[in-house]
Amino acid sequence: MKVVIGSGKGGTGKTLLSTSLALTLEYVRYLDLDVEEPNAHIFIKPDIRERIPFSIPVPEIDFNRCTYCGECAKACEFGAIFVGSNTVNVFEKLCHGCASCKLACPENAISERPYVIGEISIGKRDKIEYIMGYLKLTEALSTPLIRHIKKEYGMVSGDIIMDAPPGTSCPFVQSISDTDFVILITEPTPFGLSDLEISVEIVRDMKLKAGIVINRADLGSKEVKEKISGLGLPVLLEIPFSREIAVGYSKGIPLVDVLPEYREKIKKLWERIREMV
Amino acid sequence: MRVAVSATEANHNVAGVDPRFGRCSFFAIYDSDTGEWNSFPNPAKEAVGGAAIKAVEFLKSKNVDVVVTGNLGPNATSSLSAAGIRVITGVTGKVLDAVKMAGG
Repeated sequence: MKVVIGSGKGGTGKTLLSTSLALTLEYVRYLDLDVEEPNAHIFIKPDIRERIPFSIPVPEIDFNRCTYCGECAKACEFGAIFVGSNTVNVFEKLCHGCASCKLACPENAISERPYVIGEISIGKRDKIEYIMGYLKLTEALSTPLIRHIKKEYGMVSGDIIMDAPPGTSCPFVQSISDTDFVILITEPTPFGLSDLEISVEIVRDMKLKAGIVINRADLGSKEVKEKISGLGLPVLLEIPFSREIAVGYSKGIPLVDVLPEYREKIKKLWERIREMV
Repeated sequence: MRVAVSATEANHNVAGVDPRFGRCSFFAIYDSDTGEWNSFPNPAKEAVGGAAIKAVEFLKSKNVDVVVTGNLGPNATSSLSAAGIRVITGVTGKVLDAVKMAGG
């Protein structure tokens, strides 16, 4: 079963919940898809065995063939190529690796070379197989890295837990696509609700099964909580706003180690998701 | 010589220099040989990414020789250089005064 934890709003507890799920269930594969700021390793503490660079193909111009006609720049949707009077500038950071320029070039002057934008770390902690994506600083394209990790490491049978990035744009959509269940974790504040509503809309549009976990459940107003319950998705678990949890979190101690009674609650949560799937 | 100034509005007589290059509102283009002015909405203003590069692309198509503007980023700088367009940056004030800095 493939379960992804997303939120819309950042800082609502995706990593808190997903790491505790992994540490409770044990026999799982954990994918940290929050590639711009992966931090599940702080809680899971895996031994990293391997680090694999991740690259996208970017154009390389053969200046012996190039006639500076500008067809490549015209074909590029992302403005990643500028053709000057006797040189061509390629802006790797804008390139999406789509190869349109290569196809458009009438002189066959464009080949592709790998351009490293990130890294994949593979490790283990007891029975947890841990895979983390990391997007290099100053790079902007997290979606291809997320897609690659899911394709390469997320197609096995057995249980897979994925930590999605915050937000509701392409990286989130890529993270939740082709999963069996989406857990949307939120907090009962107007901000949490607002972003949750957008996330729910996306999950519905993609026809995915989903449920809600409310973190810091005793914060915010009753009205907001009622609205969350009214979104038509089951509320699977509530986690209180507790100093103990926050102190543990700040030290890299996972929820289930701070409050061991959550192991049972999380096991029940997993069983319930399995029934729904 | 054709001089392009990043401009805040379409009318070059009243427009100020837009401090942004890639996402400026208009380009006021002055031809010093004919004394003619032309103003164009910047087609790159609302670009999702790479606005400066698209803006240079546009100016190149208008055979511009010099750009006068406020600030240029690294993508704009390298593209303008590749296109052989000279630049004058750090300019504020009126478009009419700015164009004189390019010898117009």
